[in-house]
Amino acid sequence: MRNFDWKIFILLICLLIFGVISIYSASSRKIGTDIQTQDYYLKQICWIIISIILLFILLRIPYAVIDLIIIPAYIITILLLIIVLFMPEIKGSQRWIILGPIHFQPSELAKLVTIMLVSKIISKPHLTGWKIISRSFPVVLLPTFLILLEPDLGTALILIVSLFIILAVSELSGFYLILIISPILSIITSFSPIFFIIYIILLILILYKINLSKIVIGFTAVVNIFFFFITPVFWNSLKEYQQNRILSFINPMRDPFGSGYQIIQAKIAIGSGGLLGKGFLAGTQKNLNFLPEHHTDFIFSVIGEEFGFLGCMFLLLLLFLFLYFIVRKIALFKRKEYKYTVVGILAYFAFQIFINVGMNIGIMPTTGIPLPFISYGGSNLFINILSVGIILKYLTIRSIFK
Amino acid sequence: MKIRLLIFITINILIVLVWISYLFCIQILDIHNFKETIELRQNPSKDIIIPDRGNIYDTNGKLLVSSIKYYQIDIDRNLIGKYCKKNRSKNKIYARIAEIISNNSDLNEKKILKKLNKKPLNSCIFLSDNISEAELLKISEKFHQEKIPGLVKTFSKIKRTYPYGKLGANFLGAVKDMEEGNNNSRESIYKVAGSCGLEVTFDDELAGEIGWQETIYDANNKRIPLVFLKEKPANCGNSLYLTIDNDLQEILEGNLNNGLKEYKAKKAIGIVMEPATGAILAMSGLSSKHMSAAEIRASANMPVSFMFEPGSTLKPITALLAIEENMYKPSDKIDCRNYHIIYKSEERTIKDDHKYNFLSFKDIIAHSSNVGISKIVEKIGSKALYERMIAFGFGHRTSSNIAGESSGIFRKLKNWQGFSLHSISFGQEISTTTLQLANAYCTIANGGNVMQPYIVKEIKDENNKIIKTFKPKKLRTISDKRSLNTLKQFLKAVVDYGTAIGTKSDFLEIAGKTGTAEKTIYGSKGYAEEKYTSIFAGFFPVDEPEYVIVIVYDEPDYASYSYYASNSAVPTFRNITTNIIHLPQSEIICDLKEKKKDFIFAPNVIGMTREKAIEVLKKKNILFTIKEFHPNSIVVNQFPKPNTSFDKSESVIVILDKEKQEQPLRTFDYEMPKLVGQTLRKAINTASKKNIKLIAKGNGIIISQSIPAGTKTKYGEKCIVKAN
Repeated sequence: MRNFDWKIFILLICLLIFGVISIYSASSRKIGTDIQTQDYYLKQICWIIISIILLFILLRIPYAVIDLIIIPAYIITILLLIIVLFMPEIKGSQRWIILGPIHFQPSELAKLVTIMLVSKIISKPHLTGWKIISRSFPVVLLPTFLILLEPDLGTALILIVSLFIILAVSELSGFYLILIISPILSIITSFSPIFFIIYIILLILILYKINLSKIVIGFTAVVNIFFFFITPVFWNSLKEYQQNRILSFINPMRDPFGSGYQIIQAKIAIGSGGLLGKGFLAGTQKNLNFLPEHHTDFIFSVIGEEFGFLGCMFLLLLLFLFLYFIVRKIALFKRKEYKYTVVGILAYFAFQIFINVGMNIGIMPTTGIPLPFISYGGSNLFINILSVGIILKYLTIRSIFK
Repeated sequence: MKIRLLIFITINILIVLVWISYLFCIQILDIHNFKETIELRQNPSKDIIIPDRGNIYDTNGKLLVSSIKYYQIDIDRNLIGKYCKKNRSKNKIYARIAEIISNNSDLNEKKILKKLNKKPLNSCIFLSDNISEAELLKISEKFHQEKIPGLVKTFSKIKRTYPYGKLGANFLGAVKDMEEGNNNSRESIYKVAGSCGLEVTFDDELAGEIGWQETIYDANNKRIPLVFLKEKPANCGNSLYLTIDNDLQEILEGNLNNGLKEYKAKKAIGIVMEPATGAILAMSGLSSKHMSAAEIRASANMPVSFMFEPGSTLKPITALLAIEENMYKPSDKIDCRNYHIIYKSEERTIKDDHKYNFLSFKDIIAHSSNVGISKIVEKIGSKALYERMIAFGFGHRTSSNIAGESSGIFRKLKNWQGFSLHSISFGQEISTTTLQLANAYCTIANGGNVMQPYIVKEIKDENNKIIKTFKPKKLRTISDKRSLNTLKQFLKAVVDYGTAIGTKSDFLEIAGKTGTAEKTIYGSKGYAEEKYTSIFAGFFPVDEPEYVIVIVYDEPDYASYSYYASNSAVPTFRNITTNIIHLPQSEIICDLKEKKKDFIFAPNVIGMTREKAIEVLKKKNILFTIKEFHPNSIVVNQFPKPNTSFDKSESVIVILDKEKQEQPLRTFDYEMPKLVGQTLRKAINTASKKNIKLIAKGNGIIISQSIPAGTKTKYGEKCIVKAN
């Protein structure tokens, strides 16, 4: 196959093997010499094989077909996201479409399709800043809103972040970016008036430095001050338990037996791993059932406990190299659409890794985001591999446009 | 464009670095000490296994004290909530749980339901910590059968149970709950320790050894079965087998209780001992104060702790010394008129209640003359009396190993004053315990061996293996057989025609001595008026005594003359003796039967008038003695009892009394009493009052009766009762 990037592919396979080993350990329970294993690792292997086959099929499909598919795929995804709202609840949310033995998460598909569609829209030539925003935002906000209804805060966040990164990499002027970010910052600073005043002054100074018109500066300032005033009103209108829920989302340690429980247990598991870890299958936090969800979201803590600091470093190195090899190719893309898509996918991988690892080591809130390529989970793995497939596909055809 | 991408990549790398450094901190530097946390979690915790406390049995293996483990039960409503999602509605399950628990324990169904619906709804709710092992077994079986989750059971306490209630409460003693180790911490160990009586004396034997089991719990608080965990099983406490005979104890307590009420005494104390071995067969101290069983268990053991002046019951000791020295022949007359003694210009007159002129040596004991014994003791001298008293065991503990024993008060010889010698000869200026007195009479009865009184016969472990046996122990020998046999005849005379004639029996030789002692009140000088201790110490059969019985009444009623030993202690002794010899296992009467040849069955004259009874007895050529307490009375009792065999040469004692005649209707028309739930002995008593013949199957508490309670019965009708 011409221009097939073997380095990325081999790294992908390494990650997947590492993942299968981790899932095997995470889904088995060793007590004394007695080992009980659940068959999650077998299912994961099945999914890997199916996904890899699909990846190669994807490489064979002509580009034009992929290009044509994007919009219908987006519409189908939206329909699936609506259908999923009528599905039975599992663990308090409606994320899965259940077809016999297969549980499929349309929100995973939405991530890839939305990123591709947004890239396609904003890569059109001669677009003004307003046009970029007004066209890309609805495309992202519609699935985000539907995903939030499930509710699945993590995936929704990924979509927003990916969009923002794509916009940041695009030729959109800095003003719009600041306009997007600044309300978030004013909400955060609204808890302390002094911080807010400092922040507003800094914001205006920066905008002034970029030589923007006074109307624009005034508009930004008004928007920010509006958010500053509305936040406390909104906060106080919340019931106490709602406030508590938000506070313990930000700081899980507030509630050590509720939302903080998993994080504390994961942290203890990782911390007790030490330099070399306790050895394969020997993690006691896992064996004594202290770790919840240890084959999905908290698999990193199993790795941390059993393979120690070196094991974690090895995994992070694999992930870093994998992303680094992709980043190195970005400059090669001459076509904007491909570049944005790849950046979006990268952002989405990176964000997932940061959030998941951060959550496992106890410095980020629990959001239910799995670790890409490692965690157990069919649709997530499938979409991740498919995303890599898209990148590999773009890499094979880049020379045509050179 | 490129700059933005670079910024994006830099931010990413920065985040990665932050993550890595944090990982480094918690994994390598271990800033939160997680390794220790894990070790704590990994280190097996020790679960304490509480041993069973040993039981206490009587000499025939009847269970006197046992223990029951109690558990606490909670309901984990969270688990039920999860279960409900799959199955039935929550309220139905709660109703079912309440039903199961209230059916199998004494908890109220409505109260359980109320507790189950208490907020917060998803927590574990405490129901009771008073569920016995048997109840718990039933409850958890039901839960298991119906597959209801959420029953949480934990050990709560051990309680002692007493199948015979208050019986023997005095010496059995009490236990208390203790926490060993750090109080209020998780490491403290629950323990039951003896606080009184035998429970404290033999606490080490009864307590057993605490066992432990290493366990590791997982996050769901489930025990993980790891092979390398160690455990040490709990050693159950050893059981005590007492010399106490439950039957005798029942007889003693029952009679003392009656006496206490009848004679309006403050205290009633009694001991039954086996003279040959010094074994205590029954021991009881009752107080007129109303006390619950628990209070009695925690109070002093009166037979060994309560001290009193023994009064005339000490006279035989002076007499014994005189017999040994051959000072008098039993028939020698001694002047027993009021006796003035002068010591250092102080004058004292020794008097007798009943005035006698001249009494023989034997009759001085039989009629209990203070003057006579004072004159004898003058010849004996202080030293000999003092030494003999010490040899008999007065003034020091009997080494019986019973908790709370007091030594009595007996002054050293050098502290004796002018009239001490005379006083001590008839039991003043000295205090003894009931046990000391009983042990002294044992010595007289068994031919001069001072035995060590003991109450525990054997200690057995849980597998019935004997750990330790307590053999009768002879402390010393005093006097000689010949003198003691003479003294026994003197004491027999007391019963035959002396102060204790009330207990005379024509088919059983009984010996004993009464004592009516004035009481000194603490803090006042001299003797208190109208306050007496009435005592009787006796043994039977005289030739080879099997039982020594001492009965003490503290402050019996003055007005009704109950303070005379012959009016209170002696009748109680008589009742106890009658009960003992009529026990099914009693061999005394059998012995008598074997010795004599001509046996006939005693006819039933109970309920007859005097004339009719005489007619019946004369017809059968039976000798008889009539004891009539009131004129125109009917026969209320007879010895031997109807239909028991006895020697023809003996006479039947017919006791006539008025009381029963007042209710003549009852003798012919009885109502069946409710016997179910009573002890067999009590039932026999009740039934005999109603003239119903009980045919008992089994032993212990009655579970069924062939004639239902309340039905009219004929005289002497048979009722079959079953007991378990």
